[in-house]
Amino acid sequence: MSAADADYRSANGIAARIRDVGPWIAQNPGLVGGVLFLTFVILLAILAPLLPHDAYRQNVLHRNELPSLEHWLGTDELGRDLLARIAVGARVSLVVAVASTIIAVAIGVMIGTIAAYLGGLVDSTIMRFVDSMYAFPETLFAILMAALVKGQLSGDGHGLLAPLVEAYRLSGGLLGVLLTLGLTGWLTTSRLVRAHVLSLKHAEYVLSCKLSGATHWFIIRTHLLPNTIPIILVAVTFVVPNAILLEAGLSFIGIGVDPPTPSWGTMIATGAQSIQSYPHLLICPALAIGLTLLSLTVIGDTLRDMFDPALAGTRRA
Amino acid sequence: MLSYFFRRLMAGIPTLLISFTLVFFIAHATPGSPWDTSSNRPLEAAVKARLDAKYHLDDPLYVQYIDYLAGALQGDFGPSFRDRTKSVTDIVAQFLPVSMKLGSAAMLLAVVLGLPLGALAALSRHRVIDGVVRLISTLGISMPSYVVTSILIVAFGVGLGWVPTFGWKGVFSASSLVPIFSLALAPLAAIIRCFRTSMLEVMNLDFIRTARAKGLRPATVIIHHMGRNALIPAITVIGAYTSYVLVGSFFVESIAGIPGFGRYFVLAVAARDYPVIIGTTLIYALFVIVINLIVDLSYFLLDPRVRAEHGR
Repeated sequence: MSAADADYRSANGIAARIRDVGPWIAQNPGLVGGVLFLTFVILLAILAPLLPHDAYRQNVLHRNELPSLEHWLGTDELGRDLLARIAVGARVSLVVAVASTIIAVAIGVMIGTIAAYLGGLVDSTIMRFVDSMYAFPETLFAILMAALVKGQLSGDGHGLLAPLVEAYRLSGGLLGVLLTLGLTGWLTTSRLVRAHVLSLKHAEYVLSCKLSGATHWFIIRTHLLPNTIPIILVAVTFVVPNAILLEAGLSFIGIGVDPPTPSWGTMIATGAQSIQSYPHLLICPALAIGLTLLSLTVIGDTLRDMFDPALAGTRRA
Repeated sequence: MLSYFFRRLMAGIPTLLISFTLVFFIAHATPGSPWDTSSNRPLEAAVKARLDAKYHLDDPLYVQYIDYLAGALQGDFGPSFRDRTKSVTDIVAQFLPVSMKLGSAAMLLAVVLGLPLGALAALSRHRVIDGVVRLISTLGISMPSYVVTSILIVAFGVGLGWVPTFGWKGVFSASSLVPIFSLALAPLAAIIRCFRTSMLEVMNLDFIRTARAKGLRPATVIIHHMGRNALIPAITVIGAYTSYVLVGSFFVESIAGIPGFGRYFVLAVAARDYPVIIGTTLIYALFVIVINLIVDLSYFLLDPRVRAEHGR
């Protein structure tokens, strides 16, 4: 037992650990900054209703104002408080990110596992399809899907679609965006999971499980999925920032969240129109999304280095 | 080698067909018709019916699919619905070159800056230079193009007044600087990351030690021995970004007011201009296939192992 171990177990252990925090922060300034900023954005999103101004209240007498004590980030082209709108925009971004990531990762894990586990014709069909999807950029496919989903859900809606249409209307278009991103964002996940399950499939414990008469579902549930969790977490670090990026992109084009619901993308688009006269309308939402994505990238890089040293330093699979 | 490329070329055909089919049905499943105008005087039902008949939109969907596929195989994507005086081919000829010029400049910038910066970061690992270069690449990877473009325009166009902020006057004009840099940032960051990692992997291998022991000049060792080997993964990244950058970014083009292909695509989606949507998508897919082939070809030139494996 070394002296350092003894120190940790002594009464001074906690103090020693606290002393170690300082150098650890100095070694990972980016990670600490990223976690702090992301916490700030999450708090802002949760506490949005408690802010002094309403995100939807228009005031034509106070349009395009610069930041002041009354409006900390100024007001937009309809006199709405910019900080309140950025806070509600953070809600939109985070809700879309979490929900669409759950959908996308679930689809990706399912397809990747099925392809790898069944192999043969099923595998080659699925993977050929995934390869073709890779042949056009994700943004392009997301735009097409968004137009489709939005068109289907914003109609009258009868039969099976009716509850979805109602939910779409209530959510101000949010449902359409998160479905679109969920349905388009699973490609990378499915590839990562397939590669990993392929490597597990012939492991001896899987083989012995098969020999003892276990069902496919049992093997997948008790062996393959738990062993894939680190890969799934790696996939999440790709999917979450991508979802935030694409949501803002779709809203920027005008096929994302419907106005008046604020989205960082819509705010950037309207801000870009008055770039000469009121740059703060553009800079504030642009910084909000830019710093959020930067934080997520830094956190994602660190998590990837921790879970999977082989992937260290890469971004796209 | 020829047979290898022929096989790869053939493998592109199903990919194109799947892309075509997918986009055809997604576009047609999207509700609404190309004749819906946003003006408050909608077309009469009879007029719409005549238009549908003229453009065969009243045929069963599978008939439209086969007709359209047959036309596309002969390079004829039909007229654009939005601007009926132009064919899809005209539109591509008009808008794609603008995006391609801008994209080539951006890609060139990314490669010319990215490889040396990546190598520099790897050679000065854990020192300040490495930190700075990695910061640049992390920023470039995480910042969306619309944020970069906006901030650069505000800073250099509005704030400092150094460059014009809007419009297209050719790729060598000052107004192209901001869009070129915005487009270049993401590939630049990816190239730096990838090249740094692969340089780090190569630099501790035995043959590098041998080269140094032979007394070769450090520059020769770095460029000819490390660089050439580390280039192979970087080429894949460069290829992946090239097709993406060449066809243009909607965001950069619309903020900077550039009449390019990327911007046209989104306008076409909004207008349900099926021929343009499908034509555009196929061009994307074609770009990806051709560039993947070029990437494979470069493996042949760079890596003797690949040459040996697939014969000459």
